[in-house]
Amino acid sequence: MKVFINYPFGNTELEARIRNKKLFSVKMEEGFNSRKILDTCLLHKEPLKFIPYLERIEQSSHNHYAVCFCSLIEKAAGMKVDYLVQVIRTIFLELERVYSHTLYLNRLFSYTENPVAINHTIAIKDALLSCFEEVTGHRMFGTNHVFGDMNFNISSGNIKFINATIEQTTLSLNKIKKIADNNPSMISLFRDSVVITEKNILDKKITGPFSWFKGLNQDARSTEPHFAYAEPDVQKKLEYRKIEQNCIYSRMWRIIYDVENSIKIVQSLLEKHSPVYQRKMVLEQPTLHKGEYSNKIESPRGIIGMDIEVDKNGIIAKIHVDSPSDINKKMLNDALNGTLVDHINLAFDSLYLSMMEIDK
Amino acid sequence: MPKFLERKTLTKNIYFMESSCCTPEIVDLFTPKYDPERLGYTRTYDLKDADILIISGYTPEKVLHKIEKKYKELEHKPLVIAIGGCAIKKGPLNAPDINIPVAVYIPGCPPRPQSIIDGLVRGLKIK
Repeated sequence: MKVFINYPFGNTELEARIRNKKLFSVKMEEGFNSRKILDTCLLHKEPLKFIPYLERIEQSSHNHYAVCFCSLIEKAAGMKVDYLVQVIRTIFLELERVYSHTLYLNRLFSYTENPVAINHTIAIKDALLSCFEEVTGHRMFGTNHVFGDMNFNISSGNIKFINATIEQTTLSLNKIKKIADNNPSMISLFRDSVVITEKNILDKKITGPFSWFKGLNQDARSTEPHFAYAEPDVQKKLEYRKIEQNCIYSRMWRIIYDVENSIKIVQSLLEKHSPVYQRKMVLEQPTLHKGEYSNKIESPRGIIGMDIEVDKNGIIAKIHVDSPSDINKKMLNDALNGTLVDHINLAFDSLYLSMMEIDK
Repeated sequence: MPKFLERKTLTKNIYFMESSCCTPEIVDLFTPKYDPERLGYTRTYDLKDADILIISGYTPEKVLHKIEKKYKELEHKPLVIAIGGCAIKKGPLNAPDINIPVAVYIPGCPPRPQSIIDGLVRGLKIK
């Protein structure tokens, strides 16, 4: 059997062998890889000009790319960005994280055919998208407008809008939790399917929700705190319940808890003493110095990293981009073995590959 | 085939070419919140049964080429609807040209499910 997956900027082809209605082995061939485009296209250009390109590359982690790159430039120039800027960044990073996780939950609940749970995920998604639209002027891609048009300022009406979306997410998340807790149909579908061992995670340096559900502390928010998370000091509030099972059901719970944590972070940043209400900021024009710089950011699918070399003239001489989905895809060959053929869609979705279009 | 045996039902089958950022909106379209089945739209996974073909967002050349090939082989040609900014060449990604006659373009980045339903209804009027 051959599977053809299509995603923006590239295709992948999978070859699967089947024995007794179970996947026996899986091989993957990558065609046109998006990250190689970045490495080649962005060479010999001024760094500030290609921020808008970066955010379009990954499907739902646009903000992370752009923030990562911006913070790289800030490091290179030796800038100190205003605290207000950091707060706004973290708010949008966490909101996008919630958005990405709700897409995943929506997919999972669609297999169980539970209309109430599906409707709650849609409610969260709609609220978040309308929030992005209200604040940034665009339905999905927040970043370009956050850094360009919005000029790092949020009006008091926008803050109320963000608060309303958070209330919506907490309401519907609580109802999702009630539905998902000891739900027999979900347990029968998800438990003991697509097993990921600790060896896989450690050997292939897999990050994101795959590692968290095994209790491995590869969360970049705590291990390598991003510039945006440094001052608000939100790492201490992160709490995860320990889950010992080794299946999609446990991963689903891990993602629900992560959404809860990110809601807590946004709530803490929108309290009354928050600098968001001051609406004042200080920014300097960056001047890049010669040297090598690197940066890492935690996204819902793993860690995004970048290394750049800057010339005398302030132009990029070398660039290398590490993206999380590449790393997580490497796990397919091992993790999919032994899964039922009927559950192949579920298996792909559980590995955080939004599979767009599959022709069997 | 005699005419009385031809399929003449009120329901219209839709075949989706999901891709990139428009997927979440299309996935939500067939959920109970929006429920297009009340208007007579159902989903198929085979192009031969399709009355409406929807191409959404950025589609790579390989995939588009495959669909164009299949479209030319079909006897009963479906109505083609293009969704998203990329399909209209005003989106963030530089999408390749669609070489199939497109009846309705639905703008938006990505378009809401309501606007997709609106486009489907307009498409029915054309047909």
